[in-house]
Amino acid sequence: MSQRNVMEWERTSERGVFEIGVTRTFGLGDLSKYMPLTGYAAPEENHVWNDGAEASFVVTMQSIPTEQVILKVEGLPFVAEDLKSQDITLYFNGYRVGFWRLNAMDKTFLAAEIEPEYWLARDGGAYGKCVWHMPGSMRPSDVTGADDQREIGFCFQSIAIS
Amino acid sequence: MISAKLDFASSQSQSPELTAKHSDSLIVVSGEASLDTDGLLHGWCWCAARPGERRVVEIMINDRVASAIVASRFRDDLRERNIGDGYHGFAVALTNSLTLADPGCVLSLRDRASGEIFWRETRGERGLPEGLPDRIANLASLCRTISQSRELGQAKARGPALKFAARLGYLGRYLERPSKRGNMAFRTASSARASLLNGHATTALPFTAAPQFSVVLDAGEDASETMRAISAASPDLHFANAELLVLDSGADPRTALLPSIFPNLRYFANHGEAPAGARRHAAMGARAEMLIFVKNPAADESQDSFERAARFQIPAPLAGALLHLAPRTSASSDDLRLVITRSSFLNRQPKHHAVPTTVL
Repeated sequence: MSQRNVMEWERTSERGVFEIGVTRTFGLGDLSKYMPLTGYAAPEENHVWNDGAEASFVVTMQSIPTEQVILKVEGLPFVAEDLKSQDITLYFNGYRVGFWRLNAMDKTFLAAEIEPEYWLARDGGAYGKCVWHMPGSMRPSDVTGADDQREIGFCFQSIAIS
Repeated sequence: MISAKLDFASSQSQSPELTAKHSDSLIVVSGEASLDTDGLLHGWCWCAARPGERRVVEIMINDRVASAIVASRFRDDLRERNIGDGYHGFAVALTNSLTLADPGCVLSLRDRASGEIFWRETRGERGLPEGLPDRIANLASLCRTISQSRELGQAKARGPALKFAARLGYLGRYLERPSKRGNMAFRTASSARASLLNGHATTALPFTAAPQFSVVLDAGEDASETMRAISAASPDLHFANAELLVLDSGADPRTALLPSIFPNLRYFANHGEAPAGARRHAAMGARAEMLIFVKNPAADESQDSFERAARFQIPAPLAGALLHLAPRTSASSDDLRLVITRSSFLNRQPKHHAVPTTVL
C-alpha cells in the first residue's frame, strides 16, 4: 500500500467508513479505535459492551447504496438467571429497522435491512446513525453479584454491511 | 536457445507505471489460517514492513471472493510471537458458503492490498482407494467381457446395443492402456506432491494485480520439469508484469498438483479437449490483453500447429521467463510461441499485431 493509500486508510478508518462485504470488528484493534461510540463501555480487545439503555455509532460509506443492504452485527446478549431476555431495537437514521428478543447468552447475528432511502447524504458520502435501544440493560452486580457496574445488554463483536 | 526472432525492448529503462504496480505487489504479507470442522475459519495476517496496518483479508472459494474481513482481532499468541501488537487475527464462519460450494473446492485467503495469497486449502478427499490398480484391471476385464458377450454379439443386436458394446470395449481398452511413463504407481496426493518436489525448493510465483502479459504454457509430460521451469521463470514473470496460465492435458497427473505449489498459478485442465479449445478456454480466463502461447516442443505433435511467430517487442524480463519455460527449443522456433491480443484471439481472428522492429 502506497503512502497515500495508508493515509487514506487511516483517514477513512477514523470516519468508520464501511465497504460492502468487509467485516470489521469492534474492540481496540479496529472500530473502537477509529469510530466514535456513544453509550458504550470502555472497549476491550475484541468487543465492546454497551453501558446504558441506549448506545449509538455512525456508519458511513463512500456513497449511498443503490440497493437494499443488510447490516449485520455479531455479538451475544447479557442474560442470566434473573434476566431472562434482552430486547433490542435498532433505529437507523430514525427508521426502526429491527427488533430482537434474545433469550440465551449465545453468539447471535442481528441483521437489519437498510433501504437506500434510509441513508443520509453527508460529506459526499452516505451517513447512517445506528441507535441501539436496550431497555433491559442491567448491572451484573445487581443480577449475578459480579463486580461489574456497567449497565450492559449486548456485547458487540463485529459488524458487516452486505 | 531462443532464436533471434525475439525483439528485445530497451531493457535498461522501466516504465513508471510498471514500477508503481510493483510497489504494491512487492509487499510481503504473512499469515496462517485453520478451518475447523464446524466451518469456522480463523487465522491471522500481517505485514512486517507495515506493522500498524490492519490487513483486509479476502476469503475466496474457487477464486471467487466470498467475503472479506479486517484482520484486527487480538490474540495472545500473536503478541507472544511478536507479530505486531497482537491485533492481527480474524475469525469468520463459512458454514453457509462451504455448504453451497462443491466438496472439492479450493479455499484461499488473499491480502487485498497486495493481492498475495498467503493460505490455500483444497477441500475434499484427495487420496486414492486401496488396490486401485487391481480394481481398474478388473473393471477393464469386465468391460471387455460384456462387450464380447454372446448377447451383444448376436446378429439381431443392432443400434443402441451395438453402440453400447463398442463403447464398453473402448472403455476396457482405455483402462488397460499403459501410460507413457510405464506402470503408474497410484499414490496419495501428498506423496505424489512430495515426489514432485523431490527436495527441490521452489520460487514463489507472486500475484500480479494487473498483468500486461498472459503467458499460456502447455504443460508437457513431465510435471517435474514443468515445475522447475515455472520456478525458474517466476522472478522474470513478476518483473515483466506477466501472469502464467498452465494448460494440463493430463499426460502427467502430478501436473494437477502445481496449483498447490504455486498458489498464484492459473491452472486449466484440458483432459480430452482439443488443444485449440483448451487455448481458447485459457484465453477467456486470461487477464492481460496480450497473450503469449508457449508450446512445449516435446508435446504431442498432433496438436494444432502454431502459426509463425510474430515479431513483437517483448520486454527483456519476459524473454528471460520464456527461456526458462521452453528451454528445449530448436533453432527454428517459429512454432514456439504465438503472441496475439486476447480480443482478436477470442474473435477467432488470429491477426498478428506485428510491430516490426529491429531483429537482433
